[in-house]
Amino acid sequence: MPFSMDIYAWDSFPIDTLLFWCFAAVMLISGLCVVTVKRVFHAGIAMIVCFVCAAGIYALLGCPFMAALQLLVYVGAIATMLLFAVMLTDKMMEPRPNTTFFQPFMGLFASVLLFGLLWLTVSSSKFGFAGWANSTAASSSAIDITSLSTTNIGLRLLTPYAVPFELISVIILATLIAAIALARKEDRSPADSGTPADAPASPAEPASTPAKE
Amino acid sequence: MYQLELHSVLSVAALLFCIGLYGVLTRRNSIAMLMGLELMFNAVNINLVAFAHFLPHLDGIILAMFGLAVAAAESAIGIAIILSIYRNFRHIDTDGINELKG
Amino acid sequence: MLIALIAIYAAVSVNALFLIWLERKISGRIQRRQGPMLCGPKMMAQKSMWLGGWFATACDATKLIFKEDIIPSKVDRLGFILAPIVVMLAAIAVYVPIPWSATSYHQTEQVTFAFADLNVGLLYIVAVPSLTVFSILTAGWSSNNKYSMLGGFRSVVQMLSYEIPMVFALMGPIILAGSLSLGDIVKAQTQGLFGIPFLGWFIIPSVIGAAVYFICAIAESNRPPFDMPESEQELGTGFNTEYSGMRFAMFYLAEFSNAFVVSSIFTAVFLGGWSIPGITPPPELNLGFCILPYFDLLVGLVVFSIKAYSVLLILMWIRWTFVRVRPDHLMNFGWKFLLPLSIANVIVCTVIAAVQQIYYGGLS
Repeated sequence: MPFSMDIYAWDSFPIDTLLFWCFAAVMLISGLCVVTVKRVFHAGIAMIVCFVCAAGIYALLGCPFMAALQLLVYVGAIATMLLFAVMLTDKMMEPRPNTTFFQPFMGLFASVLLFGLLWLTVSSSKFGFAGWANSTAASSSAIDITSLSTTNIGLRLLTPYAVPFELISVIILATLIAAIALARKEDRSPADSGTPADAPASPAEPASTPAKE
Repeated sequence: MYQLELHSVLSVAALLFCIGLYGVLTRRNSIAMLMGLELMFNAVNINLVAFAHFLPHLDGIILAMFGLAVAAAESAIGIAIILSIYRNFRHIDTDGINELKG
Repeated sequence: MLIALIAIYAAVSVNALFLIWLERKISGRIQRRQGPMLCGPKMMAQKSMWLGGWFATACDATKLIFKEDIIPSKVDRLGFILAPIVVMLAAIAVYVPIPWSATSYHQTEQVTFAFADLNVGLLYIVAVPSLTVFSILTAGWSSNNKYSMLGGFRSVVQMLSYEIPMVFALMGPIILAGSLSLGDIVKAQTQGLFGIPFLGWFIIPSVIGAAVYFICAIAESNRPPFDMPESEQELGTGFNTEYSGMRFAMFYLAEFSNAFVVSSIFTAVFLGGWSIPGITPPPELNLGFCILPYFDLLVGLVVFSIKAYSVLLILMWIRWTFVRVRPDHLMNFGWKFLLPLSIANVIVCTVIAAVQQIYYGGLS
C-alpha cells in the first residue's frame, strides 16, 4: 500500500520501499542474533524483535489483518511459550559434551548453499501475473480475490476453504490434549490419580536464574 | 523506479529461511533449535504474503494463516516434548539425548 | 507525522498523570479520607477538598525522575532494561485506533477522528497487549529474584487466561457492526436496534459480552481485584520489585494508561463512543458548523471523555470494593465460567444480527 509523505514536493518518495528495507534489515540482524548468541533467553528476545518486524512487513504488503494475527499468535503465544520453556529448562552449569568441531562450518556451508540456490532461482525468474486471478478454478465465488481485505479473507475462509478451517480446529484440539498429556507430571500415587494436571499454570521451580553463569 | 519488487521480498524471505536453517543445524539447545524453526516458518509466511500482494491473490494469505495455526500447534507439542525430555534426561543438549530407555 | 507522534506521547503522559491524581483522590474518598492535599496551592485546598493536591503527581513524577537509576548487579541487563521500554511502547501504541470523535464538517462523509482509524482496529487492540505480556515475563525473570519471577509468571498466566474470553466478548459487537474498525462500530451504534435509536448501544444486545469484557479488561490491565501479580502483601510488588526510579515510573504509567485505554474501548464498543442517543444528528445533515467550526468534533470529544471517565470511575470503585482474587479461583473463573459465557454471547449476538438483517433486508 504505497502512501506518500508530505515532505514538500516529495510526493513520489518511495516510503514503503524504505520502510521495507528497514524492517528487513532489523529482521535479518535479529535473526542472526537468534542463531548466534549464547544465552537462549537473549535469543528469545531477538526472536520477538524478528516477529515484530515481520508483522511490520505484512502490514506494508497490504494485509494488516495478517500483521495483527502475527503479533497475537507468534509474539503473544508462541514466543511466550518458548520463553517459559527457556526459563524451565535453561541450565548453564552443566559441562557441555564435546561436539564436532566443524559443525558450525557445515551448517554455514549448507545455509549459504541453499541461500545461493534460492536467490539465483528467484532473481532469474520472470514472474508473469497476467490473467492469474481469472484463471484459477476456485474463482467462481462472488468475492473479488484480488482485494486483500478482512471481509474477503473471512468469506474465502468460509467458502471454499471451509473444510481446512474445520480441520484446523481439530488440529488445535488434538494439540491441546496432546500437550497436556505430554507435559503433565506423572504422579504414580493412587491417591491423587484423579487430580487434573495444571502443569501449564503452575510451572515447576524454574531451573535457572540469570545469575547462574 | 524504486517500487518494491517481488524478488526483493522473496530474497529477504530466503535469507531468513537460511538463517533459521543455520540455527536448526548448529544449535545444541533444543529450544534454540525450535527458535530457528520458527524463523523458517516466518520466512515461508513472508513468501506467501508477498505473492498474495504482488499477484494479487487472496489464497496466499489463507495459506499463511493456516500455516500460522499449524506452526503454533507444532510449537506447543515441541515444547511439551522438550519438557518431557528435560524431565528424563535433566538437560536438553541434543548431543546428549542419544539413549533410548530400557 | 512527527508532530502527531509527539502529540500522542504528550497526550498519553498528561492523561496518565491526571489519572493518577484522580485515582488517589477517589481512593481517598472511598476510604473516607481526603487524598492528596498538601502539594498544591494552599488557598484552594482550604476552599474544597477537590481543589487540593493538584501537584501531587507532578511531585511524584519529579521524584521518580531524579532518583538514582539502580540496576542490581546480578540481573540480566538486556531484559531488565528492555522490559519497561516495551511496556511503555505497547501502552502508547494501543491508543492509536481509539475513535475520539467524528466530524462531517468540510468532509464528504463522516470522518472518524482517531490517531489512525485502522480497518483492523479492534484486532490491533487485542494484539498489542501481547507485547505487554512478553515484557512482564521478561521483567520478572530478568530481576533474578524469586518473588519477581513468581509475580511475572502469575501475571502472564492471568493475562493469557483472560485474553480469550475478552476476544470472544468483543466478537459480539464485531458481528453486530460487521467491521473490525472502531469508527465503523461506533457509527453502527448510532443507527439503533430495529430502528429505535435509544437501544443502539451494543451494551444492550450483548449485555453478557459487556460484562465479560469488563471483567477481562480489569484482569488484562492487572488492576485490583486481579492484581495478584503485584500484590503488596504477598509478593512485594511482584515483577516490579527490583525496579526503581524512572523504570518503575514507566510500569506505573503504563498500568494507568492501560486502565484508561480499556475504559475508552469499553465506551467505544459498548457504550456508543462519541454519540448521544437520539441527539447526535445523522451525518447526512452535515451540522459540523453550528456555533464553531468542527462543532460536532468538540461535542463528540466531550461526550466520549465523559463516558470514558465514568467507566474509569467505576474501575476505581471496583478496586476498593472487591477482595483480591486467589490464583486458582482466577483460573477457574476465567476458563470455566467466562469462556463458555462469552461463547454464548457470540451466539446471542449472531442471532440478533441475523434477525436485524432479516428485518431490514428481507429474507436472504
